[in-house]
Amino acid sequence: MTASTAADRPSDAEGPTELGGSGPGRASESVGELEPTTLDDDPTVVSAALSIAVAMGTMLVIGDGVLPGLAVAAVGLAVVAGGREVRGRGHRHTGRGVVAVGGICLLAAVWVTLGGATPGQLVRLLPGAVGVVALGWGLVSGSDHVRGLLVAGAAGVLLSVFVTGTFRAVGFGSLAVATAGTVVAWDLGARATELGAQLGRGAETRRVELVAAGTTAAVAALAVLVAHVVRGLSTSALSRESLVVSFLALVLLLAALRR
Amino acid sequence: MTGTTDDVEIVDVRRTHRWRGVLAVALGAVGIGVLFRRPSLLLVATVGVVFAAYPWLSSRPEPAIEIDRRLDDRNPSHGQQVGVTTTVRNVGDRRLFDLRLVDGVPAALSVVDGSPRHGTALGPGESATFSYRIAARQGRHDFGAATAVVRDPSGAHEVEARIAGDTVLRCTSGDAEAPLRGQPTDAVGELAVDRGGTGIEFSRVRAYQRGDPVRRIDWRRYARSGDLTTIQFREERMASVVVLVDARESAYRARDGEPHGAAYSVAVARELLDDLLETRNRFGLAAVGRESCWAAPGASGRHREECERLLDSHVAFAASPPESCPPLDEQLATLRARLGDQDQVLLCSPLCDDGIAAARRLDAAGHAVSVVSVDVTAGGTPGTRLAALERDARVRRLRNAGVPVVDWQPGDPIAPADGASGVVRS
Repeated sequence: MTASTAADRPSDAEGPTELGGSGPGRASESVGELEPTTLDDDPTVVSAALSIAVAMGTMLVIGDGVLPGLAVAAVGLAVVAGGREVRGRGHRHTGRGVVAVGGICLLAAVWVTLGGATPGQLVRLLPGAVGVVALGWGLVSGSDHVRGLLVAGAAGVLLSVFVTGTFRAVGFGSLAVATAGTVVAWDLGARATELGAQLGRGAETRRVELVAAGTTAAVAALAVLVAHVVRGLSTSALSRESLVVSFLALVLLLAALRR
Repeated sequence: MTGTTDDVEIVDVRRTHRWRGVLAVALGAVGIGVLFRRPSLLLVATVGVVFAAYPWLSSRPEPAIEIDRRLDDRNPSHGQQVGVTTTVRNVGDRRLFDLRLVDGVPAALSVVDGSPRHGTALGPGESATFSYRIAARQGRHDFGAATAVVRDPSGAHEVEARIAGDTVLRCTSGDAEAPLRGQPTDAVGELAVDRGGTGIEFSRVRAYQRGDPVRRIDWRRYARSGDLTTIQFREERMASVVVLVDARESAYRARDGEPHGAAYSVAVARELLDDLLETRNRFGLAAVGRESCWAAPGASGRHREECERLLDSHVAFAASPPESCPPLDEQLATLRARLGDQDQVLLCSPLCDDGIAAARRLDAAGHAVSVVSVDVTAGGTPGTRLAALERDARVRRLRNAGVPVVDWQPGDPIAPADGASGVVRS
């Protein structure tokens, strides 16, 4: 018999690694196809759930009457997550069916949010509603495009925040909180993805996730505070034009420093 | 094992650039604010700027980590599940906000429960413990270095480190007994040869011949029947055995989730080394594979250490299959040139291809060859069943040619096929 006729494969001890470099630690799991329970590289649960919650909270801050739609979206995402779970336990077709039902719920959520909206609300809330659904779908469905969906979803929510600011629909405080919230939602989602890819859902990661969420939330609070302080300065001492110029200078300086 | 901080090797220091996009938030807010003359949006850009500045506020983390790994059982039996408990401790004086650890599970073993990966945050002096279970397989398995990735709070700086350790899991089947053939050396040893002689174990009785020592005459029989007979004893001689490990590409076949044939053959060689040297025989080591490996037969303690070192770390026994190997005929010719006249060869091979049957030529050239063959074939698909049938045919052909073959299943003790070790079948 030649090597090619035997169907049993040579065991390849070295496998691709997520952390870079090769080490026997991961190598054993590259036999991983055999042990699907040990390496499930979906985004980690705590950060993903927090990310979705913060994104939804952001929409609540800038939109009025979005709560029913968000509730439907939350149910839809829970159903999708359940479908993934069912699929993971070997019931492929049932799982796929459940995921599809969840997907329909998500579409329904967008419809519920925008169904009775005025044209103004539609323009304001459409990007955010689609964004929340994209972000949630990316984190929950086990999609290969999770990073892209995450950025697109956060961008959608941010666009909603900016359009709302343009329409003067909410006050400055809400606007600052919503902007910070969008960044936090993206950060948590990205961490969920990174941790999922590097350590997998099977690993215990709650502590690192909660610490990361806490520090990011603290930075967000600081950012909102700084925005309020700058606003206080601008109304008292500085003209608006000088503020814009100094601000642009600061942004360009930061951009230059990063190179 | 306890890894001290001295064992932490920094592999990579990198920037993740994960906050790069956040400047776009600031610029977007400024752009829209200027375009639509909305001062509040201009001010909201401050939020983006603070996040963009965030990575500058935290610096590169310096991992000072210690790892302690404990096994339920360091000498488990084949197939037994072994719990591994790993404790990671921050021995530095700075908080580690984001520590991701992947334990160095031995390459040939698979994790059956839990995860060898852990993510945590550790203050100075704090530690975290995680545990998982691995399925033990026959052989010696070294835990590799654990990989740690440490990030600063913003996640912008990332340091990858390896934390060395020396945990070893040894899994043996118990008392291995080398299936030897009668190719005795001139030195006294434990290999009983069927040549009747002057040993201590009774062999047979034959008719008296002139010159037989008087004290060997069976006087009782003479008293009973009047026949003059001589008692013969087995002679015991030392065997000089070269264990030849098949580590060619074909030997790297494996059943699903199991170590491959080459890893098992190395495990067999290790047990034979122990058995042969403990029974006062001479042990030599050779391999066919990506590179030749050779240790001439010897029996000293130093020789034993050298052979163990070769089995642990020689490139021929690497965990991953070779890309290419020199022609087998050449390798066997080199081996023949190295073998002494009295050396017998004990081939450890999964017999996954016909090539290794060329070992019969060694037998024909006067070196008694025996084979210990680990069975890595499995049922299931037609391809694997065919592979199993072909291996059975190879075993039969070797036996028909007078080469004893031990068809070994991992977990069983290694023992001569017919239970009659060390006796020449002449």
